[in-house]
Amino acid sequence: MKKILYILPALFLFLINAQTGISQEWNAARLTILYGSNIPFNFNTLEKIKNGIEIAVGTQIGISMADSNQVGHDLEGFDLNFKSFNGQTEIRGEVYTLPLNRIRVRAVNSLGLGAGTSYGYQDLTTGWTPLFSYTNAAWSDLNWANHQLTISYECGRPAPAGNGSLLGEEPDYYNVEIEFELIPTGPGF
Amino acid sequence: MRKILALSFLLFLGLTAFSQAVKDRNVVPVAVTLNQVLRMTITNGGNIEFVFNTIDDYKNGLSADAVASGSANPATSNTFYRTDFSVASSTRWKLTYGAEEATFIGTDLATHTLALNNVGFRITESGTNNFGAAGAAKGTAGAQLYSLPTNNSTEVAALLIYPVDLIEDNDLATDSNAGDAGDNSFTLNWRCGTAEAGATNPMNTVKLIDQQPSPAPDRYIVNVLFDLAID
Repeated sequence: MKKILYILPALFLFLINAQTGISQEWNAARLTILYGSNIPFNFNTLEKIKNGIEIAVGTQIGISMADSNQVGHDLEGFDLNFKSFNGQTEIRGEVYTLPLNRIRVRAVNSLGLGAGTSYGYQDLTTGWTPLFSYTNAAWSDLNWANHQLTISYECGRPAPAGNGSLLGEEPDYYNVEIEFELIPTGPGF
Repeated sequence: MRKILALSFLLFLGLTAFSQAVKDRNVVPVAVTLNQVLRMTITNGGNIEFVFNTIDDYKNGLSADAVASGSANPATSNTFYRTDFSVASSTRWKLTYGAEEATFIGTDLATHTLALNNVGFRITESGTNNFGAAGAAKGTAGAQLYSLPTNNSTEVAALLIYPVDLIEDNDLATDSNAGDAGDNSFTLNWRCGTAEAGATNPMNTVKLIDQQPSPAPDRYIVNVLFDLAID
């Protein structure tokens, strides 16, 4: 009984130590917005309202990702997904609303990620939608200075290139927040 | 020894229970500002003048549709009696028009008047937005434009006093009359004294030469107002 009383505090100390000091994640991941943290579409001519606006270089994202070399978890790449933030179901104005899919988003390699796959322009929805995938079996860590993506945005492009122009829509100040997610991929992830 | 092994096992559990793949997220706010575009441009025929100087003019009138209306002027002068205008709007729009006064007023003597319905017009569209068929109710599919006073552009209509809704949106759920000058381009084919009796809004059916009393010779004028607004 006496021994148990000695062992229990020691065990407790071991567990605390394991949680805070020894435990290591399988990887490190960080999305860094280098510029373009706020995207304005200003429709001030009929031409823009009729044909839509594309902001080809909207947001520049730096990717930092490192493998922690955990057994059974081999980092080999990442997926970049996006969706409307907080489940917002429409682009909200002061009075009126627009469908989410009037905004479309694309991610392309800007620096160091040429081996990745861009899925082209994708509709903004409430669910995660892939924009870009990168896989490299011979993994080497990525850092934001040398591995960057360009996020392009388009709004109000007429069909078939887009989901319809904004002609006929009410004047208002509409806004939506777009959430990007960086997910590590590879065996064990 | 057994206790040490047990402790090591528990320590291993601590290691694995709190490790995971690390993801990251970021949020970019996107704003869309829609500014209102609403513009009417008269590109031709901002001032229409009918000059009656022959008995034939008094008998048959003058018009921009010489053949169809049977007016006295030759067809070559049709363009002198036309007003071309376009509408550029980012939203559904409505054009209200009408004469500023209840009658034409003589410039030499203000007591000289001429009834507005001696003047009329036929409206035609040349853009991609179209009027519906004659008699089609507002909201009937297949057209972006609606015009009650001209029965969807199928009749000659008499000039009326302001305000009259001349062109409106056809109130379709998925198609609007919003657009640029290429979508909304119109011509008003004016006439005077042709006595054309459209069913909806007929002109004076008595020709100028037969009216009682006969209109006094004068230069009669009235301003026709146009007001473009959101529909």
